[in-house]
Amino acid sequence: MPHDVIMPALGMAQDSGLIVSWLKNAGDAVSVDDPLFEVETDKATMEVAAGHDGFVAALLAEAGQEVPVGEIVAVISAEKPDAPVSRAANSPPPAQTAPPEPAQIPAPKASAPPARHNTLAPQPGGRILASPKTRRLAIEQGLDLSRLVAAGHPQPFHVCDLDELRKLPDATTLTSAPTQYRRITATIPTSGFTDFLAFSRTENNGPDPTPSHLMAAFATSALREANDPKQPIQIRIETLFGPNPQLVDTDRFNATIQPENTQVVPHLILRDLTSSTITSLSLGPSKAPVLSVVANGEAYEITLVFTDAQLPDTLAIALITGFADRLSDPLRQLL
Amino acid sequence: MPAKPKTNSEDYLRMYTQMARIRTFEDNANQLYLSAKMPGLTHMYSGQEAVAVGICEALKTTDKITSTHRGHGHCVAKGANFKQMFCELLGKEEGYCRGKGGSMHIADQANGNLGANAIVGGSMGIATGSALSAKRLGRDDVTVCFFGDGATAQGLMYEVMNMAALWKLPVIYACENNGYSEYTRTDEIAAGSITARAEAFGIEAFKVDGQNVLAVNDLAQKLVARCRKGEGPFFIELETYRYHGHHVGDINREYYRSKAEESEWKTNRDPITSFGTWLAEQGIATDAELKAIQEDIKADATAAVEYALSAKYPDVIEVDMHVYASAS
Amino acid sequence: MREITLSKAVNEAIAEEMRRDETVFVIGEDVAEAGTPFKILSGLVEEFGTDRIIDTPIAEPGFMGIAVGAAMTGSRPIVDLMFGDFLFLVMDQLCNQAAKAHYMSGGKLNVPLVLRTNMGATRRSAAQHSQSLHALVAHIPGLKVAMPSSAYEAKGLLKTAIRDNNPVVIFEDKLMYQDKAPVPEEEYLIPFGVANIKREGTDITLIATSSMVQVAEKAAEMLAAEGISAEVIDPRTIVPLDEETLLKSVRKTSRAIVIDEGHQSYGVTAEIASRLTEKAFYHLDAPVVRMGAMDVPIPFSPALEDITVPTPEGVAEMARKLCSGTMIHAA
Repeated sequence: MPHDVIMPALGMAQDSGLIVSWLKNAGDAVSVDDPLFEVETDKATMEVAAGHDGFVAALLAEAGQEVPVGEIVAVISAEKPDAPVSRAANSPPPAQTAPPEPAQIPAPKASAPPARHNTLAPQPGGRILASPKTRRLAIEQGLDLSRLVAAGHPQPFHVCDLDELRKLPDATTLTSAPTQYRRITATIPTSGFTDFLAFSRTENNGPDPTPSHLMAAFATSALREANDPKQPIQIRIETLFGPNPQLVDTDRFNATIQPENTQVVPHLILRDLTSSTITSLSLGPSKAPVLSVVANGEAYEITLVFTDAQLPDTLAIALITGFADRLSDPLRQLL
Repeated sequence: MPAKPKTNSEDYLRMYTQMARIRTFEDNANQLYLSAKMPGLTHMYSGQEAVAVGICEALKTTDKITSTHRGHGHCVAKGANFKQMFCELLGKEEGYCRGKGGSMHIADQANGNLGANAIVGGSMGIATGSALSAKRLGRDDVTVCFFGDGATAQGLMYEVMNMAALWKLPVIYACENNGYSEYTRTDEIAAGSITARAEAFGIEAFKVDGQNVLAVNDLAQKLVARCRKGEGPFFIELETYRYHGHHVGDINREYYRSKAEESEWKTNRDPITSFGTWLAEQGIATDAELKAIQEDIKADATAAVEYALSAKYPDVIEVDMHVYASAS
Repeated sequence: MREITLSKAVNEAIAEEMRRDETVFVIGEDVAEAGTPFKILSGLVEEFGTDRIIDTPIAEPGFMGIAVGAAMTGSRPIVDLMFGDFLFLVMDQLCNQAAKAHYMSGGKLNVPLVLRTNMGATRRSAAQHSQSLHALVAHIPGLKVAMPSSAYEAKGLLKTAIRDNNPVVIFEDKLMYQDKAPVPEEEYLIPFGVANIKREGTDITLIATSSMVQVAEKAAEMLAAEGISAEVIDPRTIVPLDEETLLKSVRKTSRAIVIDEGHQSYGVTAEIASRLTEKAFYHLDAPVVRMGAMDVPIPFSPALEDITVPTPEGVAEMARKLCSGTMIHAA
């Protein structure tokens, strides 16, 4: 029964050994403790014993060859071999540290970005998922990420999604493009209102009513009559020299005033310029419909400017007519 | 310590003075704690003065010691001054460690004190390494490693004694056996004989009455001389007693130590009193002179405490200084 | 330039420093005639003698403590800790004593020692001989931690460590001892706290330590063929850490993966990733991902051990996902 002699592991960090020399020839007799070959490891040369009694039947590596640990380098047979073999080791398998075969590589796609894998639908509560860099760049460049959401882009957003955002129509909402607006004008004599103001001063013991506040109440009441009675109505009063308060439900006793720096867009802006020398107005739209009143001789000229997104035409007509009625005959309004 | 020998009288008076200094220091430190003026905890050495003094008086300034959490005595005995010590205990900038070490880590590198250690047995490796440096670099320094009976339970002790013996290092392991390992009696925590532990490594081991400063000093001088000749290491077991509890807050301690026992040691085996008696008997100093020495020391300590109490704390910018040493 | 093994590089560093400074000595188990079981120190005892290459009994806490004391008193010991796993044995002397002595003494005591040990799995040495524990010591103020990734770094960092006046722990990857790299014949030192950009790129930053540098470089090769340009950075020392180089890279690429052979949780990857997220937050277009060894004791069986550590394929796959905006975790 022949015995294999292998290249032994002789050190903690040793993967292979260099055969320095064979101390026996093929066909020689050996005993178990006879040194069979010399191996050079990292630092020293060591002798390796035959390990078995018998004859060297085959030497399977040559002196000077590096053989991996565990490979068979010789065979010892019990009987003297007829044809002892002596040859070089098979070419050793690739060393442990050789890099693996590189995977089949398609030609580099230089500028095509990797396919997108965003998967998320809009989040409940409206939160937008985006990387910190995306958010920062969006702010810096005045881009509105919610438009990407509205356009159906899956989240989370990354920087390259801003390119998509830029391609959307009306890419920015921060600078509004000019939109179509409408204007309706009404004219009424001033006497109804001025008489009423004089009457109030003499009749009331309380403080004089502010003309613009009264106008605001008329406008609110007119809007309410034409629309939804329950809805709180916010109106912003703008006069020549200010203040410009924003009030809620001025037509009611429980009117409230909004904080000065409120961001809430009112339902209506009332621009009372009756104390100025302006006699005619033709201005563009604002964030909310604007009801302006100027005095021109013995008449008030009332102008309502609005966009179709802000007020439907019918409501606008009802508003200005209702306001004009009340302003021309306040007493009837109060009764 | 001067190199040339002085007359014995001077040596004896110096020993007395040093022991009295330790006692006074500890009394003051204890007071600072009890009056809530000292942050943290400290561990009183009172009662063990003869051990530190007897040994340190046999050493030069360049000889090294390592100390324990009960380290004020070693620190004073190796040449430290009151002012910087009290400053360190109070965490003040002028302390030996700029207030960063405190009582348990107090070190006086200029006097060869490599530091107290809060880890029981933690300095044994350091002491042995110090001896290795001395031997390797051709200096005749001796290192004394102070530790308590409780530290004999630490594995590190055996590891380093083994190596010290193998390499014949100039280190003296001085075991201050005060009968208690924290709140437990020594015979309940140390099996067998303490000196036999050293002898197992072939280290010559000695037992001595730790309350007798002359006996301690005599033995220390012999062993230090032998160490300098390369005959080390050595092991000494000194039988002694700590008057206070394990730490300053350990006041109700009758459950592990009887008042009678404490009283016995204080009355009959006090190292300072008995040495004073001996000095008087030998005609080296009168009672009045000894009293005067005590008074001087007390005054010195009082002044040092006052100084330390009003000394400044380190600036907050120092909090992250000294984490790393700079290039030399 | 000549190429030498990491083992030889370490040997040269120690020999050169010992010739230069007679207070330097080596202490540890089997360091003299045996030259350590990894045969790194062979030849040193012949040149320097057993007084300076000191064999110890198997007493890690003991000889670590002795090294601390020797360092405090004028010597500059190099402690050889045979396996990084034995770090647990020396922690008191290293972290309670060596790391703190300079601070606790108000700057008066110095501990100029080097602790040389190793790290790295896949050697079939099982759980108690395969750990990479550098995160433990990086956490302790007062220690410095170096991680050479090749023979070149090993020599330069070790020389710097020996000359440093602080306790330095240097981790060599035990599987790299026979790996060769170009190492100059002339003397050179690598400063601490300076990262090395091994490969420049624009799409993603791969920060890797020790042998993971080679893993990252292989991943970068694979990614390059797919049109993804990865930048590979080797911090070289984790304490001190060259944050600025890492941050600058992430600001450029917007994406990062940190690769290290410590365990995934509570490790070096977490610290570096956290710093990048904190300090480069507004430049990130992808989460900073950690890739460490699995949170398991390292198994013996080769079939299991090899999947516990990061691989080039794994790194490349993660990089692909991050570059394509794929979510790694649920929202």
